[in-house]
Amino acid sequence: MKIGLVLFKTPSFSEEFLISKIKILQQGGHKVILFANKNNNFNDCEVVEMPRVSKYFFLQIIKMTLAYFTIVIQCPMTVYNFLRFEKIDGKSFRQRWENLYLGSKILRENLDWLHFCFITTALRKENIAKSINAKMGVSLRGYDINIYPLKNHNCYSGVWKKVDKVHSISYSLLEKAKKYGLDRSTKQEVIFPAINTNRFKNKKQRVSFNYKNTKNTIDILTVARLHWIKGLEYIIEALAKLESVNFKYTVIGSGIEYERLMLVINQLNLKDKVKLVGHIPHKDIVPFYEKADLYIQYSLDEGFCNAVLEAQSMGVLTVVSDALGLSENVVDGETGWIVPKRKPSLLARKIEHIISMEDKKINIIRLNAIERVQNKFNLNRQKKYFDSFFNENSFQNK
Amino acid sequence: MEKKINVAIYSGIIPAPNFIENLIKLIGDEKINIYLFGNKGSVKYKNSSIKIFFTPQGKIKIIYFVFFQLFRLFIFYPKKLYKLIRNYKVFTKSGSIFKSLSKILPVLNHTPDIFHIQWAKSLPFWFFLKEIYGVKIVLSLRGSHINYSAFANDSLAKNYNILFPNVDRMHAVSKKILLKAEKYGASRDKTDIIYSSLDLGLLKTYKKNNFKPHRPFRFLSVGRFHWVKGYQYSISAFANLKKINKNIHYLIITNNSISEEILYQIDELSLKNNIEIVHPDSQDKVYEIMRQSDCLILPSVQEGISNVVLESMAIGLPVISSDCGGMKEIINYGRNGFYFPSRDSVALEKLLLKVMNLRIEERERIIREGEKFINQNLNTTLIKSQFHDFYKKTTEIGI
Repeated sequence: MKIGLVLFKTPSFSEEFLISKIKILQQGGHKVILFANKNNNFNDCEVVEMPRVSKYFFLQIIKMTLAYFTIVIQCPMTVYNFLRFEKIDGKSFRQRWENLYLGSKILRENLDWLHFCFITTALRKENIAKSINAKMGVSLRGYDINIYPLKNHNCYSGVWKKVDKVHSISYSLLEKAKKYGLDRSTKQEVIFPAINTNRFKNKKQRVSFNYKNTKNTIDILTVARLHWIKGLEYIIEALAKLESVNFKYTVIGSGIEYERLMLVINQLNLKDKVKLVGHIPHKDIVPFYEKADLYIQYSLDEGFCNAVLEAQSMGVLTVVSDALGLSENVVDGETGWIVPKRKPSLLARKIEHIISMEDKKINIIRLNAIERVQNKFNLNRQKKYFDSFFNENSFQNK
Repeated sequence: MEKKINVAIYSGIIPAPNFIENLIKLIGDEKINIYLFGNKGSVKYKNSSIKIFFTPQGKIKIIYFVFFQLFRLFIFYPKKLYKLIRNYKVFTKSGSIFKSLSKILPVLNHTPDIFHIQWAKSLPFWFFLKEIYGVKIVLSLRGSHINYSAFANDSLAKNYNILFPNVDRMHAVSKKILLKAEKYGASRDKTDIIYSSLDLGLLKTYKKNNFKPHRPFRFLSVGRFHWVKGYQYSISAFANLKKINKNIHYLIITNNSISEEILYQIDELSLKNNIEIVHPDSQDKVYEIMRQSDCLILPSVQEGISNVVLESMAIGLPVISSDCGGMKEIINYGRNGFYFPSRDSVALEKLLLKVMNLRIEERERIIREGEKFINQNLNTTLIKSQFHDFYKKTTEIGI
């Protein structure tokens, strides 16, 4: 099959979930074409750069004229169909022709599937798949469902009407999409993210926890962008409430809220204990997990979170918030712990509780987590599910 | 007769934020001329001691402006031009040369005795005025520039460490902010603590005369959507209070659009019908809403001294503030207002409930005490004389 994947930009190294998705599809014998607004020298498959909008009016007019001329010569019927479908949907004359320009690079391709890897990439491109007789798929991820519709009411109504199949990375995300209008009868499938379980393996035999002895220092780790949605400020507030616990907290990731976090670190006198180490390439991240005793992901919202899978797979004890996908990622009390979000006092108490637990109980949780991730969130399993997602024969185009 | 002192109050834009505008309007008189430099918006001053030397915007206008200013400098102050050329690095070190010159040349054509910088981050750019032209440099210690920017920016911290000890005099908006600046080499002996000035005449016209709270009880916050304002804490506290007391309302006055963070939180906690966000188009409307409210919440994680708290006290609106920055210098707990530990939404929730349940006499007593504090410590005569004294001391340095 020929599958077109639509993204804003080609995947960077940190977006391993997208790279692995492309590899899985290629291994399954499919031809993958990536449609992206920006190509960062991505070489794993064919990349088609999408038309961009120029800030100079006359340049834009020239670009649009050329695009229309080319596509009308290449595939006149597709153009006719696309404009017809857009008209049926009630789009204005101007919107129709703008959308034709935006989708012109995809419209000339002969695809079996057109899959929008983020649902926001499908906006204004709802009629492309139907115009080229391809099936249309969308993936639901955190920001697209949790934040974007709050600012853009009813933004996905057009997508829900046209989409053939929806992929979600967690059940809770899928439920939330239904709140925003996803029809229950639309085909939908939850395919959890997966990690390379061979790479994130618990190689080191961990020594027993003996934090009751206050001379020991507990190494705490979070891998996250410095962004409010990751709840890092609340983690730091919780750490400041820890009583008689020696700890070192490392945050891997960069982002716009460095200043905000530096303020809270300074205000709570944690300068010697909390380090924001910035961006670390994903290939170099394993030693940080090896060193860590406790991994915390206290996000206000998450689609699922691969870093939590990696931590569990490495045998690091994991505490997460009850944000959407995280409560499916970790089984509370069995493979880690779930704490209600925005409650730094509760998070602090939970950390103290974990530290006071018997080694035997702790190791059971650690082993449960390793086993669950290795069995349920490995790449082979994901490959099987993605194969079936695109291979379904019983489809009828809407 | 005493010579008039020419003071440039530099904030980068004209008009400056409200609290700086109050200062500008207050201190210009027969003893002090105020020079304003920067990009101009629409503003008019009745006070003839205030002179505006604005820099235009737009590339072509800037080029024209720079050539005109250079010509003027060449004709009237050739020595200054010679010094500028010899020290060309002052206008080539940051960004576009034309842009830098468009800021510098009007100042050289109208050189003040004192160049009063409002935001510390501008200090490295303007310090040459002291080194090359002998202009006295004074700095106001206020806002994020002192409170946290240098924590996250090593080169800024380094610049502060080099320049702060050499600034002629400093003005701190609170004792707490001076403590912070001391870490970068600010000297207590060269610093005057002067609180913000308020337009008490205007505020008087909005004074509350009915102390009985509304139903539903009206909480109010005033401030832009920015993480430093700590709205996530006040909204969490409000949401918890709402669970036990449904008859409450929270209004946020802002001048920018709502942040994703707060939009998300309001949706998550299903508070769309209980939290209202408004964008009044004038300061008078803001004061009118303050008069119509029952309690002001300042949930900030960092402030110098919040002007809105001072204004609320002047209007007669009871205040709950976080204990950030210099707020405890203003609020005497239980006497003229309340404060809670910054970032503690549980403590804030308790205080919200406490203020809601205050008896009328207690509310009135707290309001009266607030007004008294403002009248005693922030009256315009006092602030004006403190600033006059401050500038006078500055001009006497090195004489």
